[in-house]
Amino acid sequence: MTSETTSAGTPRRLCLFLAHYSAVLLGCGATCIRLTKNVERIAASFGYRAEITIMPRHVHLSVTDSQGTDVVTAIESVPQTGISFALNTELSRLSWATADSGLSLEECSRQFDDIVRTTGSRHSRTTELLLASAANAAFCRLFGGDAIAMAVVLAATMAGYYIKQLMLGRHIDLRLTVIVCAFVSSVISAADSLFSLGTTPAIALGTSVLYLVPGIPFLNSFSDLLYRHYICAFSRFVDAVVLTCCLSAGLCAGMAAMNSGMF
Amino acid sequence: MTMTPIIIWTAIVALLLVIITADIIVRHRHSRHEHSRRIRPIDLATEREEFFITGDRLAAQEDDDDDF
Repeated sequence: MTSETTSAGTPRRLCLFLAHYSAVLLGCGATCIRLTKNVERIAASFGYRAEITIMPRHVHLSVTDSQGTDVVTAIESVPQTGISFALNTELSRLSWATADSGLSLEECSRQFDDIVRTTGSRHSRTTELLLASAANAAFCRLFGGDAIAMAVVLAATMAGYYIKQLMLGRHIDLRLTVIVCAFVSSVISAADSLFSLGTTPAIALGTSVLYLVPGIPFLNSFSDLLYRHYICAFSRFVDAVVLTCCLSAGLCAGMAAMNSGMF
Repeated sequence: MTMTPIIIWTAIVALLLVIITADIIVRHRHSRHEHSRRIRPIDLATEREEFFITGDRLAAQEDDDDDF
Protein backbone atom coordinates (compact mmCIF):
# COMPACT_ATOMS: atom_id res chain seq x y z
CA MET A 1 0.00 0.00 0.00
CA THR A 2 1.43 3.35 -0.95
CA SER A 3 0.77 6.62 0.73
CA GLU A 4 -1.60 7.52 -2.13
CA THR A 5 -4.15 4.89 -1.07
CA THR A 6 -4.13 5.21 2.71
CA SER A 7 -7.16 6.44 4.62
CA ALA A 8 -5.60 9.86 4.79
CA GLY A 9 -5.80 10.23 1.03
CA THR A 10 -2.85 11.87 -0.56
CA PRO A 11 -0.27 13.59 1.63
CA ARG A 12 -0.93 16.73 -0.41
CA ARG A 13 -4.58 16.89 0.68
CA LEU A 14 -3.65 16.20 4.29
CA CYS A 15 -0.99 18.89 4.16
CA LEU A 16 -3.37 21.47 2.70
CA PHE A 17 -6.01 20.62 5.28
CA LEU A 18 -3.55 20.84 8.16
CA ALA A 19 -2.14 24.13 6.88
CA HIS A 20 -5.62 25.63 6.78
CA TYR A 21 -6.52 24.09 10.16
CA SER A 22 -3.39 25.48 11.81
CA ALA A 23 -3.83 28.94 10.25
CA VAL A 24 -7.40 29.19 11.57
CA LEU A 25 -6.35 27.84 14.98
CA LEU A 26 -3.53 30.37 15.23
CA GLY A 27 -5.85 33.15 14.06
CA CYS A 28 -8.42 32.42 16.77
CA GLY A 29 -5.83 32.82 19.53
CA ALA A 30 -4.31 29.39 20.17
CA THR A 31 -0.87 29.18 21.70
CA CYS A 32 1.99 27.72 19.67
CA ILE A 33 2.24 24.62 21.87
CA ARG A 34 -1.44 23.82 21.37
CA LEU A 35 -1.09 24.34 17.64
CA THR A 36 1.91 22.03 17.40
CA LYS A 37 0.32 19.27 19.49
CA ASN A 38 -3.01 19.36 17.61
CA VAL A 39 -1.41 19.28 14.17
CA GLU A 40 0.97 16.48 15.13
CA ARG A 41 -1.94 14.52 16.65
CA ILE A 42 -4.02 14.72 13.47
CA ALA A 43 -1.06 13.88 11.23
CA ALA A 44 -0.12 10.90 13.40
CA SER A 45 -3.68 9.56 13.29
CA PHE A 46 -3.30 9.29 9.49
CA GLY A 47 0.14 7.71 9.76
CA TYR A 48 2.10 10.82 8.81
CA ARG A 49 4.51 13.12 10.55
CA ALA A 50 4.03 16.90 10.56
CA GLU A 51 6.65 19.57 11.08
CA ILE A 52 5.36 23.09 11.57
CA THR A 53 7.03 26.48 11.49
CA ILE A 54 4.89 29.13 13.13
CA MET A 55 5.40 32.73 12.12
CA PRO A 56 3.31 35.66 13.36
CA ARG A 57 1.23 35.91 10.17
CA HIS A 58 1.99 32.66 8.34
CA VAL A 59 2.11 28.95 9.01
CA HIS A 60 4.61 26.75 7.19
CA LEU A 61 3.76 23.04 7.34
CA SER A 62 5.47 19.92 6.01
CA VAL A 63 3.87 16.47 6.02
CA THR A 64 6.10 13.41 5.68
CA ASP A 65 5.18 9.76 5.36
CA SER A 66 6.59 7.14 7.73
CA GLN A 67 9.44 6.23 5.37
CA GLY A 68 10.39 9.85 4.86
CA THR A 69 10.18 9.48 1.08
CA ASP A 70 7.10 11.58 0.38
CA VAL A 71 7.23 15.17 1.63
CA VAL A 72 4.66 17.89 0.96
CA THR A 73 4.97 21.46 2.15
CA ALA A 74 2.34 24.20 2.33
CA ILE A 75 2.34 27.79 3.52
CA GLU A 76 -0.87 29.47 4.65
CA SER A 77 -1.58 33.03 5.76
CA VAL A 78 -3.17 33.44 9.17
CA PRO A 79 -6.65 34.96 8.76
CA GLN A 80 -7.21 38.25 10.56
CA THR A 81 -9.95 37.12 12.90
CA GLY A 82 -10.95 37.80 16.43
CA ILE A 83 -9.91 35.67 19.37
CA SER A 84 -12.43 32.90 20.04
CA PHE A 85 -12.07 30.42 22.86
CA ALA A 86 -15.07 28.49 21.57
CA LEU A 87 -13.47 27.95 18.16
CA ASN A 88 -10.18 27.14 19.84
CA THR A 89 -11.83 24.45 21.96
CA GLU A 90 -13.87 22.96 19.12
CA LEU A 91 -10.85 22.67 16.84
CA SER A 92 -8.87 20.97 19.61
CA ARG A 93 -11.75 18.55 20.13
CA LEU A 94 -11.68 17.80 16.42
CA SER A 95 -8.03 16.77 16.68
CA TRP A 96 -8.89 14.40 19.55
CA ALA A 97 -11.91 13.04 17.66
CA THR A 98 -9.69 12.37 14.66
CA ALA A 99 -7.14 10.56 16.80
CA ASP A 100 -9.63 8.60 18.94
CA SER A 101 -12.35 7.75 16.41
CA GLY A 102 -10.20 7.41 13.31
CA LEU A 103 -12.15 9.92 11.21
CA SER A 104 -11.41 9.96 7.50
CA LEU A 105 -9.83 13.07 6.03
CA GLU A 106 -13.08 13.90 4.23
CA GLU A 107 -15.08 13.63 7.47
CA CYS A 108 -12.46 15.60 9.38
CA SER A 109 -12.50 18.31 6.72
CA ARG A 110 -16.31 18.44 6.73
CA GLN A 111 -16.43 18.76 10.52
CA PHE A 112 -13.79 21.48 10.35
CA ASP A 113 -15.89 23.49 7.89
CA ASP A 114 -18.95 23.05 10.11
CA ILE A 115 -17.06 24.24 13.18
CA VAL A 116 -15.66 27.31 11.43
CA ARG A 117 -19.06 28.19 9.98
CA THR A 118 -21.12 27.79 13.14
CA THR A 119 -18.92 28.43 16.15
CA GLY A 120 -18.23 32.13 15.52
CA SER A 121 -21.88 33.11 15.97
CA ARG A 122 -22.63 31.05 19.06
CA HIS A 123 -23.38 34.09 21.24
CA SER A 124 -25.47 37.00 20.11
CA ARG A 125 -24.09 40.51 20.14
CA THR A 126 -26.49 41.50 22.91
CA THR A 127 -25.42 38.60 25.13
CA GLU A 128 -21.77 39.49 24.66
CA LEU A 129 -22.51 43.14 25.40
CA LEU A 130 -24.36 42.35 28.62
CA LEU A 131 -21.84 39.80 29.87
CA ALA A 132 -18.84 42.05 29.18
CA SER A 133 -20.55 44.97 30.92
CA ALA A 134 -21.48 42.87 33.95
CA ALA A 135 -17.94 41.51 34.16
CA ASN A 136 -16.47 45.01 34.08
CA ALA A 137 -18.89 46.20 36.77
CA ALA A 138 -17.77 43.24 38.88
CA PHE A 139 -14.15 44.30 38.34
CA CYS A 140 -15.11 47.74 39.65
CA ARG A 141 -16.45 46.13 42.82
CA LEU A 142 -13.29 44.03 43.19
CA PHE A 143 -11.20 47.20 43.10
CA GLY A 144 -13.35 48.72 45.87
CA GLY A 145 -15.93 50.69 43.90
CA ASP A 146 -19.33 51.42 45.44
CA ALA A 147 -22.71 50.55 43.93
CA ILE A 148 -22.96 53.83 42.04
CA ALA A 149 -19.51 53.37 40.59
CA MET A 150 -20.54 49.86 39.49
CA ALA A 151 -23.63 51.25 37.78
CA VAL A 152 -21.59 53.95 36.07
CA VAL A 153 -19.00 51.39 34.91
CA LEU A 154 -21.81 49.16 33.63
CA ALA A 155 -23.20 52.01 31.53
CA ALA A 156 -19.75 53.12 30.34
CA THR A 157 -18.81 49.59 29.32
CA MET A 158 -22.08 49.03 27.53
CA ALA A 159 -21.59 52.22 25.51
CA GLY A 160 -17.94 51.48 24.75
CA TYR A 161 -18.55 47.84 23.89
CA TYR A 162 -21.44 48.78 21.63
CA ILE A 163 -19.17 51.16 19.73
CA LYS A 164 -16.53 48.42 19.58
CA GLN A 165 -18.98 45.97 18.02
CA LEU A 166 -20.16 48.61 15.59
CA MET A 167 -16.65 49.62 14.48
CA LEU A 168 -15.25 46.08 14.26
CA GLY A 169 -18.37 45.04 12.35
CA ARG A 170 -17.43 47.69 9.78
CA HIS A 171 -13.85 46.32 9.73
CA ILE A 172 -12.37 49.52 11.13
CA ASP A 173 -8.81 49.18 12.39
CA LEU A 174 -8.64 47.57 15.83
CA ARG A 175 -6.20 50.17 17.19
CA LEU A 176 -8.44 53.08 16.24
CA THR A 177 -11.41 51.18 17.67
CA VAL A 178 -9.64 50.73 21.01
CA ILE A 179 -8.74 54.44 21.19
CA VAL A 180 -12.32 55.51 20.48
CA CYS A 181 -13.85 52.98 22.89
CA ALA A 182 -11.46 53.94 25.69
CA PHE A 183 -12.28 57.60 25.15
CA VAL A 184 -16.05 57.02 25.15
CA SER A 185 -15.98 54.76 28.22
CA SER A 186 -13.75 57.10 30.21
CA VAL A 187 -15.86 60.14 29.36
CA ILE A 188 -19.10 58.40 30.37
CA SER A 189 -17.61 56.99 33.57
CA ALA A 190 -16.48 60.51 34.49
CA ALA A 191 -20.15 61.17 35.30
CA ASP A 192 -19.43 59.79 38.77
CA SER A 193 -17.10 62.69 39.60
CA LEU A 194 -18.71 65.24 37.29
CA PHE A 195 -22.11 65.06 38.97
CA SER A 196 -20.79 63.99 42.42
CA LEU A 197 -22.78 60.76 42.34
CA GLY A 198 -20.69 58.35 44.40
CA THR A 199 -17.72 58.17 46.71
CA THR A 200 -15.29 56.27 44.44
CA PRO A 201 -15.17 58.17 41.12
CA ALA A 202 -11.49 57.39 40.51
CA ILE A 203 -12.17 53.64 40.67
CA ALA A 204 -15.08 54.03 38.26
CA LEU A 205 -12.87 55.91 35.83
CA GLY A 206 -10.00 53.46 36.09
CA THR A 207 -12.06 50.30 35.72
CA SER A 208 -14.30 51.54 32.93
CA VAL A 209 -11.71 50.61 30.27
CA LEU A 210 -10.60 47.24 31.68
CA TYR A 211 -12.64 45.36 29.07
CA LEU A 212 -10.20 46.66 26.45
CA VAL A 213 -7.08 45.23 28.11
CA PRO A 214 -5.59 42.65 25.69
CA GLY A 215 -5.20 39.94 28.32
CA ILE A 216 -5.21 36.94 26.00
CA PRO A 217 -2.36 38.19 23.77
CA PHE A 218 -0.30 38.89 26.90
CA LEU A 219 -0.97 35.39 28.29
CA ASN A 220 -0.32 33.71 24.94
CA SER A 221 2.89 35.67 24.62
CA PHE A 222 4.08 34.35 27.97
CA SER A 223 3.05 30.79 27.07
CA ASP A 224 4.99 30.99 23.78
CA LEU A 225 7.97 32.36 25.68
CA LEU A 226 7.94 29.35 28.03
CA TYR A 227 8.00 26.94 25.07
CA ARG A 228 10.72 28.92 23.28
CA HIS A 229 8.59 30.16 20.41
CA TYR A 230 10.34 33.49 20.73
CA ILE A 231 9.26 35.05 17.43
CA CYS A 232 5.56 34.45 18.07
CA ALA A 233 5.98 35.46 21.72
CA PHE A 234 7.58 38.75 20.73
CA SER A 235 5.00 39.38 18.00
CA ARG A 236 2.07 38.80 20.36
CA PHE A 237 3.71 40.89 23.05
CA VAL A 238 4.20 43.83 20.67
CA ASP A 239 0.59 43.50 19.47
CA ALA A 240 -0.61 43.58 23.08
CA VAL A 241 1.62 46.53 23.97
CA VAL A 242 0.36 48.52 20.97
CA LEU A 243 -3.26 47.87 22.00
CA THR A 244 -2.44 48.85 25.58
CA CYS A 245 -0.89 52.10 24.33
CA CYS A 246 -4.05 52.78 22.29
CA LEU A 247 -6.16 52.11 25.38
CA SER A 248 -3.99 54.50 27.40
CA ALA A 249 -4.23 57.18 24.72
CA GLY A 250 -8.03 56.98 24.70
CA LEU A 251 -8.19 56.98 28.49
CA CYS A 252 -5.83 59.97 28.77
CA ALA A 253 -7.82 61.88 26.16
CA GLY A 254 -11.02 61.17 28.07
CA MET A 255 -9.49 62.22 31.38
CA ALA A 256 -8.10 65.40 29.82
CA ALA A 257 -11.52 66.24 28.33
CA MET A 258 -13.19 65.71 31.69
CA ASN A 259 -10.53 67.60 33.69
CA SER A 260 -10.10 64.62 35.95
CA GLY A 261 -7.19 62.63 37.33
CA MET A 262 -3.66 63.62 36.46
CA PHE A 263 -4.61 66.44 34.10
CA MET B 1 -14.71 77.24 31.91
CA THR B 2 -15.85 74.69 34.50
CA MET B 3 -18.85 73.93 32.32
CA THR B 4 -16.66 72.55 29.54
CA PRO B 5 -16.46 68.93 30.80
CA ILE B 6 -20.23 68.83 31.27
CA ILE B 7 -20.76 70.15 27.73
CA ILE B 8 -18.34 67.54 26.31
CA TRP B 9 -19.98 64.77 28.37
CA THR B 10 -23.45 65.80 27.21
CA ALA B 11 -22.34 66.06 23.59
CA ILE B 12 -20.78 62.58 23.64
CA VAL B 13 -23.80 61.00 25.31
CA ALA B 14 -26.10 62.70 22.78
CA LEU B 15 -23.93 61.50 19.90
CA LEU B 16 -23.98 57.96 21.31
CA LEU B 17 -27.75 58.02 21.58
CA VAL B 18 -28.04 59.17 17.97
CA ILE B 19 -25.68 56.42 16.78
CA ILE B 20 -27.44 53.71 18.77
CA THR B 21 -30.90 54.85 17.66
CA ALA B 22 -29.83 55.03 14.01
CA ASP B 23 -28.22 51.60 14.24
CA ILE B 24 -31.34 50.06 15.78
CA ILE B 25 -33.58 51.64 13.13
CA VAL B 26 -31.33 50.43 10.32
CA ARG B 27 -31.25 46.91 11.76
CA HIS B 28 -35.00 46.88 12.15
CA ARG B 29 -35.55 47.98 8.56
CA HIS B 30 -32.95 45.54 7.33
CA SER B 31 -34.60 42.63 9.13
CA ARG B 32 -37.98 43.55 7.61
CA HIS B 33 -36.60 43.86 4.08
CA GLU B 34 -33.89 41.29 4.11
CA HIS B 35 -33.69 40.81 0.37
CA SER B 36 -34.19 44.35 -0.82
CA ARG B 37 -31.76 47.20 -1.38
CA ARG B 38 -33.02 50.45 0.10
CA ILE B 39 -31.50 53.88 0.11
CA ARG B 40 -31.10 54.95 3.70
CA PRO B 41 -30.62 58.49 4.97
CA ILE B 42 -28.04 57.28 7.52
CA ASP B 43 -26.24 54.08 6.56
CA LEU B 44 -24.47 52.66 9.58
CA ALA B 45 -24.86 48.99 8.82
CA THR B 46 -24.32 46.65 5.93
CA GLU B 47 -25.59 43.22 5.02
CA ARG B 48 -22.54 41.52 6.52
CA GLU B 49 -21.86 43.78 9.46
CA GLU B 50 -23.20 41.28 12.00
CA PHE B 51 -20.13 39.13 12.44
CA PHE B 52 -17.09 38.23 10.46
CA ILE B 53 -17.09 34.45 10.40
CA THR B 54 -13.80 33.37 11.87
CA GLY B 55 -11.51 31.81 9.30
CA ASP B 56 -14.02 32.08 6.49
CA ARG B 57 -11.88 33.00 3.52
CA LEU B 58 -14.88 33.35 1.25
CA ALA B 59 -16.30 36.08 3.49
CA ALA B 60 -13.00 37.94 3.32
CA GLN B 61 -13.04 37.76 -0.48
CA GLU B 62 -16.59 39.06 -0.62
CA ASP B 63 -15.65 42.03 1.53
CA ASP B 64 -12.72 42.78 -0.74
CA ASP B 65 -15.13 42.83 -3.66
CA ASP B 66 -17.21 45.43 -1.87
CA ASP B 67 -14.27 47.81 -1.81
CA PHE B 68 -13.60 47.65 -5.53
